Amino acid sequence: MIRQFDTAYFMISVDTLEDNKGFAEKEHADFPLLANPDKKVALAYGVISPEAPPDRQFARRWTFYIDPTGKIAAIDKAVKPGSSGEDLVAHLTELKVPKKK
Amino acid sequence: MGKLLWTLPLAVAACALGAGSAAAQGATPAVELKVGDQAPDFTLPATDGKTYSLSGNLKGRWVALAWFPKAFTAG
Repeated sequence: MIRQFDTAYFMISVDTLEDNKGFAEKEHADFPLLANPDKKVALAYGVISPEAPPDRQFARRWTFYIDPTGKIAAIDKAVKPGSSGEDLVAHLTELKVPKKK
Repeated sequence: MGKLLWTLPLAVAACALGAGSAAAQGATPAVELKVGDQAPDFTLPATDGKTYSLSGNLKGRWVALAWFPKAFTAG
């Protein structure tokens, strides 16, 4: 469903690339997962709190929609694991992201 | 009760001072991005063996970044 849109979709976490490879295989993910174990990008996006102890710094389940000019078009802070696919399609439709030709 | 009422603002002020001094010591406050902000650039490895960069090979495209807490939890 997501693939009908002309968008690059990633899941991303502060896990290692190896952990995410295992996760992607187990979940049969048909999209790439990005790994940010040094947490610099996570901090820049505000998805982890710098005050939390390092072993408790897990990313918040937020989805950022970035437009072609590099600006943030939407932030979904209420992502539900069970319906994340449907929510994604709803957001992409609302943002008028073009469909693939 | 009267004492409690006037100690409360003092406690709040003390907390504010504490937060201020933490910032002065170089503690980074949590970032709060808003719609319309420039998305922070990144260059990160992906599970497909490629490297993706917002200012590089993703430039000019719509990008959805779905953060999740931990591998092996529900996506």
